[in-house]
Amino acid sequence: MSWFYKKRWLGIGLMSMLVLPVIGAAADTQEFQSLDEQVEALKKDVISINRELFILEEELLFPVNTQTFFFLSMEGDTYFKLDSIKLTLDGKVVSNYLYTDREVKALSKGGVQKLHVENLKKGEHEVVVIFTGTGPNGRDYRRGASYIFVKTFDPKYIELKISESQEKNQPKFLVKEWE
Amino acid sequence: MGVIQFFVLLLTLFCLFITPIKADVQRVNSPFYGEVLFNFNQQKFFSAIIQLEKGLSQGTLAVDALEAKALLGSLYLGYGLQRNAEQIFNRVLETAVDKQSRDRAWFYLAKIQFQRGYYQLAYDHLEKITLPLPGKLEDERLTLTALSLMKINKVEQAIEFLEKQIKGNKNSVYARSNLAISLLKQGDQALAITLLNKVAAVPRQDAESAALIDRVNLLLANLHLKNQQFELASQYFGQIELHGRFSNPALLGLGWSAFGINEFAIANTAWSELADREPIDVNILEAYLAKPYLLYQTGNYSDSLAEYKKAIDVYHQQLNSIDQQLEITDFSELILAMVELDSDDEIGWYWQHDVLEGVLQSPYILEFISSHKFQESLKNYRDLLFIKKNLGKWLTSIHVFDDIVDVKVSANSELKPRAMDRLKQLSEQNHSKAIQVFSARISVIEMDEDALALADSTELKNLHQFRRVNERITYSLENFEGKLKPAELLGRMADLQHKNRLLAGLLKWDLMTRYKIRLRNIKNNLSELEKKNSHADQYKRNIKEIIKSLPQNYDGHRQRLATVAQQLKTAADQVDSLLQQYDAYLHSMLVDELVVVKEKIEIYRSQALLSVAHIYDINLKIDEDGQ
Repeated sequence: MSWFYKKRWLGIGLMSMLVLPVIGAAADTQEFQSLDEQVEALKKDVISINRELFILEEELLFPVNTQTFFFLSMEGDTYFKLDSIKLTLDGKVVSNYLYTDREVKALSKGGVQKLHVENLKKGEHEVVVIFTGTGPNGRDYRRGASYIFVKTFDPKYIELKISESQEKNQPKFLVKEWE
Repeated sequence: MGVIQFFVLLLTLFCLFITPIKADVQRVNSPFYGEVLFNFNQQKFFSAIIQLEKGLSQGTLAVDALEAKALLGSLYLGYGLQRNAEQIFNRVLETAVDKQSRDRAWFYLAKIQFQRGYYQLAYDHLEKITLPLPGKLEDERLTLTALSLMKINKVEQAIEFLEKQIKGNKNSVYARSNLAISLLKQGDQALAITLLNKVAAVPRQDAESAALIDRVNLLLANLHLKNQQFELASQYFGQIELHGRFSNPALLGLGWSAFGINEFAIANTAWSELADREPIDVNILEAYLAKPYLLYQTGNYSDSLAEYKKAIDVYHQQLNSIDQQLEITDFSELILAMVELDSDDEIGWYWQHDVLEGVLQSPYILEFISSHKFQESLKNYRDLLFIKKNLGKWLTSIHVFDDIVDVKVSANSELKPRAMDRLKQLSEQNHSKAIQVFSARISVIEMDEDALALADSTELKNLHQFRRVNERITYSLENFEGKLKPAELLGRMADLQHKNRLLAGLLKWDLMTRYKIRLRNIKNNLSELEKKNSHADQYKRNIKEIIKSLPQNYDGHRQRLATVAQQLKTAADQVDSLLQQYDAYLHSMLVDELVVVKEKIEIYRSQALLSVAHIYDINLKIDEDGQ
């Protein structure tokens, strides 16, 4: 009896250690793939719905003849780490934006942020931008830049640009029309 | 698009989580393309796709079409649209990139398909690679090919492939272990053991290689245990790290192999160590059973009985806990809790759920939860929740847009007639022609230096008067000469005529001297008039632009909004249906997993109960024999 008992126990012991085939694995995989395909098709539909909605939104809220875009770009992040931007348009604050590390990194890698869109009348307008962050030697840094532009019936693209002067070891801030 | 650009683009995506790439940042020509990159760099794939597709359809990206397509493919991959990404890559890869770049791209695509469980697709991609990949990638490619072949049950091909790989790289421990597993699948145990032994003999260099060697040792030990080669098994079990990933099965196996050669003390130490651990694994639960069995074998019936009873209690608790979890029919909250742990809505396919503590009660399914299949399903579930949330928001915005259209229609109905009236007024006041005629006249005056032409009305009247006086005097002198008396009257008339001529001459002199000033003033006024007229024209054009920009009606927008609203509702229904299906699917996966564990514990409990009964029988027999 002892040997029989021993054999039986060994059987159980081994059972837990050996890889058992998974019953119904093929059917399971099929179900997973079918659901996965359905989700992918749905995601694609959702993208085209959202794209259409996005275009409609722009057409309705920002008609071409009044739309004015304010984009932020960054070339180099050695001398300035951006914390926030205050955008004033014709004396009125239209945007106060706080940046996350992720956003700053995305900008420094060549990304451009659409900071603000505004409907503007034809004519002269003034934009004032205050850049706040950490400057050279880790000091608090706050600089402003302004620009006067003329809005026509065509869309206007204004660029708020952070770059750096290698000669002066300083950041540079510029507001201009996107070229 | 250059090869380097393409690679920076493709590799950025694949390497986002591995190493930060210090690629040369190039200025984009279009801010809209920059905006796509801004989202892409933050792994906000959904937003980036929308902006890129919009930009492509509106032609606002100012970027090479191929580069944009390649980026779209990468974004699709990031968002989990593997099939769509693949279609794009197929087109991009087969038309534009050189062989080396193409091979590398196929490799990464294959890697992703393999991770998603599409093994055949992964193998198909790997088959397209024509040249050896650079550096370590080649070794990875070979391993991936072998694993794909094994996964699609082409074991013979896998063996053939791995043998070639080992010939090419004698140090490839992965290739050897993979080949050994393939051979085991085929039943060639002897050759498999030889290969595994070679891997087991490799020095541990890092955590990864240590884990692999432990795994190989465990495999070898289990094979020997199965063949009842207990001493050999014991040696292999003994080489596995005591607190490593495989320590639980190793301790259990060490106990059994020691038991097989009657090394009861070693067996007891191994199982006691295991039984002291938290019961989070079936190996530990089995140790609860093995330990009293050892005591029984050494004749210590009373301690054995106590340990069996302890084991039964533990099994009972564990079975109760599993039953309670199985009674939960709605796992959606549990799954929801897992998904909701992450608050970022826009994480793409690279998301991995790794926070489990406090969410799941059963430790037995921890490994299952981190399995590829469960994680992939969870990603889709999370994406569906994200879509559901967004669809709700978008449906609300549709109503807002409808209201905007109403306001615009109402504003237009007021603005348009006003603008039309103003335009009509301005058109009626068109001075361009008059200015042209006047300008031509001035030119003639200037050319002729016609000072008289610039005389004012009084001057003209005076001139006219002088002319008339002169005519009358001349007439009188001619017709009444000799008839008028006295003669001095004639003399006075001649004086008058002379004075009249003098005054007329003075006036003309005056006109001549004022001519230049007058001409300059008139020209300045004309220029001013032209400016004003030009402004009026511009004003008219502006009004025309405004009228042109005002849609004839907003029927088109209304129709488009209605279509989108309908599409949103359909999509929302699909999301609900898919969420239900995923609920059921994830639930069934969890239940299946728990049932497997439950069945194992039930077997252990039965064995423990049988053993208890058996010891009672023995005790009874001893008592009977004693009497």
